[in-house]
Amino acid sequence: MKRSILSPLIILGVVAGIVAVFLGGWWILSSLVAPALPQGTRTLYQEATIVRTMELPVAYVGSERCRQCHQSVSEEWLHSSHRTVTCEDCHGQGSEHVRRGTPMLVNTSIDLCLTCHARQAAKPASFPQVNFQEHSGGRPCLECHNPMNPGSVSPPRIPHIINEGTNCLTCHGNGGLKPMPADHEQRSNQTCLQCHGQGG
Amino acid sequence: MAMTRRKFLKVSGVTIGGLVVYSLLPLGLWLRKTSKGGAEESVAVSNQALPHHWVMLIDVTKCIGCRRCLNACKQENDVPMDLELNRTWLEKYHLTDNGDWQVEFISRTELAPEPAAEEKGFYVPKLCNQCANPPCVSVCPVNATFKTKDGVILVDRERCIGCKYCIVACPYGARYLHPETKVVDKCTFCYHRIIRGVPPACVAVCPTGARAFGDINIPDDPVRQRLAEEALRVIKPSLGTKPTVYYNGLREGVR
Repeated sequence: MKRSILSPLIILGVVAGIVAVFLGGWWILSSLVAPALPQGTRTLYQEATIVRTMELPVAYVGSERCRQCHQSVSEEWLHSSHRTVTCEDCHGQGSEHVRRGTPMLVNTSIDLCLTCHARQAAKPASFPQVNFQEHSGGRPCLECHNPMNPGSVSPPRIPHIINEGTNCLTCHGNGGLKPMPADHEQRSNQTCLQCHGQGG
Repeated sequence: MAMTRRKFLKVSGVTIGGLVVYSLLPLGLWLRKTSKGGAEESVAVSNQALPHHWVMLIDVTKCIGCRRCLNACKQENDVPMDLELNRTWLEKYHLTDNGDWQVEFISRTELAPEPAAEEKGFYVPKLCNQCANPPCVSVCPVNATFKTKDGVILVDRERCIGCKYCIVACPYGARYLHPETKVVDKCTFCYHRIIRGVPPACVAVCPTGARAFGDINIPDDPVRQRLAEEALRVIKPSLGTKPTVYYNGLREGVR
């Protein structure tokens, strides 16, 4: 029997037909039967992961939550130059304290302050940073600065320009415009600038 | 039978015709799938398609390298505190004598200033960019990592086999293998916080406001306005990953 020219055609046709039925059927079924899940969420496993992730506990509660109980200190802090520094930045995460009353950290080390305020050339120039030894001669930060209101240093900074050779006693000596307070009896007249820095 | 030129031409014509018809079917399927549009088209077309579209903005000119964000992230997300593994980290770029940028990877979280250095430089906070076109998702052999409808890429801890292919694939180095669970971990934009309306931990604690976070599907979101107004850049834009973390103040040479 002579082989017909049609046999490769028939084979191809049959194969193509099977493939078309398979793919076409899959195409139709996938759009009609499978639920249209929102884009990005495809399977139940992924839904379970999303739910599991959403249920994780929160560790950092935010300064607003601290304010609910610690109102007076929060007021002072809110009006100071540290108002962009959250409570938890210095005191650590607050979730345990809120949940169980675990005491918060009160870290008085200079390392806490210097983590932000130690001088580094890579920090933006406008950010307040000091060379610790030059700035305070080794005295701890908290001797002069109140972290809840760091701008109001004690001793207070000099709010006016000091020219070379100015004698502080002209205004601040006895009988002057604004005499020194009584607790300055012990201090020498040459050392005013050692405690009173510029800028108020 | 003998093969004549005519028979040969007929057979090959039929074969080619059949192959063309055969290949049209998956092509049709592919066209239908891609016509549904990618994430960014959906945002433009309809706000209902994506309930949120999270974006993070990092201002390099404000970062002081204090690492409170690294500390907060580790505590918030159970990342080992004493290992050099991070969901977010800093890269300190400093200018060397011959004018090159040298990069220092900063991972530590403890409260202690760096040794004083006088070379000019800047800090670049980095994290998972939650790319709109993520290479890490496409390489996962078990589909353990995926992108949610609001654009955050999560890892299914129970599916991940720890093959680390995604760690290799990520061009930003955002992923790491967790030493306890032995599966891959990465920044999730603090998904458990953002769905509760609270910003990610790193954003919440930043004392200088170098990090900002928002949902650009909300019309008056400040991040959305900044995205429109400021000259923001992404890291490695040429890779086509379409990150959703934008930087202000990024210089040439940041990689």
